Amino acid sequence: MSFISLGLVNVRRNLGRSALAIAAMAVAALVVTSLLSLAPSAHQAAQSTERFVVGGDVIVTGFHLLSRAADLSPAAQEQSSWRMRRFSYDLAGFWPEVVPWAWQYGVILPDGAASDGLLALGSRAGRVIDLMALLADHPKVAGVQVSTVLPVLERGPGPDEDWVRSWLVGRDPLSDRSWWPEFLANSVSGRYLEPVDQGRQVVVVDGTRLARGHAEAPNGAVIELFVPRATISPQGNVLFDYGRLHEVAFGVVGQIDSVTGYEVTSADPLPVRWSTGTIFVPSATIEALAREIGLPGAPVTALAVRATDLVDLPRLTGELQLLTAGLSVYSVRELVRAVEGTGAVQPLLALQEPITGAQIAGNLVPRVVPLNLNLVFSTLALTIAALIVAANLLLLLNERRREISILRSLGARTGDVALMVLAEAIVLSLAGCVLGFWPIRLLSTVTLVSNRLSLGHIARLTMLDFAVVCGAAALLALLFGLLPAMASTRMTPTEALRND
Amino acid sequence: MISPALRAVNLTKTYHLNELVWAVRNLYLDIFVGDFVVLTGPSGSGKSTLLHLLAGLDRPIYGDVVLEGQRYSRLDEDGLAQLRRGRVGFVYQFFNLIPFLTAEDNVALPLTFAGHSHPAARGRARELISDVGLEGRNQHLPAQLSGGEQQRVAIARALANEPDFLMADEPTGNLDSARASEIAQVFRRLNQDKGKTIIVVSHSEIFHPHANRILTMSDGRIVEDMRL
Repeated sequence: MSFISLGLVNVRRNLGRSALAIAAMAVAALVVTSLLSLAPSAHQAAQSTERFVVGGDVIVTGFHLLSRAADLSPAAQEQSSWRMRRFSYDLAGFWPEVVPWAWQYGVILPDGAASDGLLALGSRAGRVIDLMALLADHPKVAGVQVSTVLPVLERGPGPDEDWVRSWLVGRDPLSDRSWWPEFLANSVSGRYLEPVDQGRQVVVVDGTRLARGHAEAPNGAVIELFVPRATISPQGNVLFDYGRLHEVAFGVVGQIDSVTGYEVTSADPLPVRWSTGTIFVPSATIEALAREIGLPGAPVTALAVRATDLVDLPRLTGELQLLTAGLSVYSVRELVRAVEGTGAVQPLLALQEPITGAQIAGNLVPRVVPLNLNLVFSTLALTIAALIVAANLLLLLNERRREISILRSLGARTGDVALMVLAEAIVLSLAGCVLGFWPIRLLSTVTLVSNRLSLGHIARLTMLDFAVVCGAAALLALLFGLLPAMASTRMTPTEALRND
Repeated sequence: MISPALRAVNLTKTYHLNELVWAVRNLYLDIFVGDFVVLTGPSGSGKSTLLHLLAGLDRPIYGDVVLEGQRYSRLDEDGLAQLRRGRVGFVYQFFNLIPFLTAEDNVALPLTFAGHSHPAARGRARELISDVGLEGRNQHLPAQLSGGEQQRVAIARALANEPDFLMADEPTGNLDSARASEIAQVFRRLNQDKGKTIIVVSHSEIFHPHANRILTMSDGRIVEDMRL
């Protein structure tokens, strides 16, 4: 009977203790496999709300998006000072500077951006295609799609001037009940467009805003788009649940004769500044809207970039900024936080200043990669379990000291005895791993089948994960098993028998 | 002149049990091939300690044991293990069989340690069990065997790798007189028929008729060396 066989026999002999050690390792394996399987989900699915609705993780555009409204009224342009309106307050002049809750982030089109920036009619424009190819070449970019950054206008440049004509206004049926009959009528008649682009049509980043309706452009063509609470793919998967947001309908209003950038007509140019309420609309939706009103193409004002990995999105944002000097590059996550008022985000770029090398370098300052908490917890869980196995073995070896002494008196080498103990430790650990892994595997299958949660990546749990967990457990078992193994051979056989 | 096969040179061993105990004190001893030595003496005289030192189961604080030119002090733990595996067989008073292994597996253990294949080890174990008169009992667990039978299994195990030396610490101390007599006969046969050098620690005189040398110990020293 070999020493490994003896180790296996020992596992069987002390079933109670072995079961305890196996259970500890099973719980650890369960934790580790959960963390391993949830990690991709957390990075690539759970946090990808923005990606679903915007179409990407990074927005590349000709606009400056993260500009505080207060910044939109530089002293040199007092004649077009902005009137802040929010929550029924009118703020002007100095007040926007000192009232934090008035600091809404807006959109600004830098001077010269119209000619040189990312503004094109239609997704097939050469400028757009070139830029998409440039971005797609980046190793951390998984895909690029055209997008449109549209402001939802609420205020105009100065109290005495006309309000800027809107293209698209948000309407929240939950708070705007007067609109319900129209909404229902249009639903019945089928006027609303079907969701396209897998539910990524529209994002409204300020759900508290009340729409101003159509009053500002009463003579325009109107197309309404209903965005449902949830979008279901043809396979029945829930692609995105809008439940967190308000149910929103949009109406395109206004006389749109020609579109060159955002210049609606030569007589009524859009200003270079817009206020808050920015929405991001993937171009597929805008194309659909444009078709409805007979336009040859929709304006592309942004590219939505999907990253391969969201762990270091700020760094990717900086690197893309380096590639696209003259344009503005934003992490969508930061944008959303800023406009929702939940993030303490400062404008990434100084207002209307050319992007300098120093600013780009500032964006590219190496960031400390956040500690991988999954790795920490995994290591802790496995270490604790391995310690339990080791403690169990120490207790058992104390009980088996006599047997070990006998084996040594019969000529077993210290290495042989250690091998026996380690075999036992590894068997306990691996058995625990197998027991801990398969419930998670089963759970992932159930999750996949039920398909109600955005945890699709759990189902991607592979045998590689299994091998990783088992390998780590075996390694730890070896490390922690060495202690009792060495303890078992420290005394001479006679000493051990005498102390028994 | 015949040189001794096993020598103890100035062998000394102490224990700390509240006070310093000299278990073996500056002891010199020569054992020759084919000897049947009985170590006797009162309890605590150092017999068992000496036997364990001679078998390489324990280390002296001073002095050395030389087995056919090989000095124990120059062997590491694995070297001593190799010596116990192949050259010295040891039998304990309380048999010290592995309780969850059958008689056959117990006897096969040292053979496996020595690198024999599992089937070969088991075949040899069956032979040895048969040699000690336990034919048909090889699949029994130690608990299913009587004391005498367990001791026979222990002897078979000690002989597994055909050592030249067989040492036994009170091998009949736990047996009734009939069983003790049988065991003594086994030792006699091993000495006379197989030429094994035997050293037995025993209180009783049951081995005396078969021994050619009786050593009496007291206070860690040999006080009488009687050659028969």
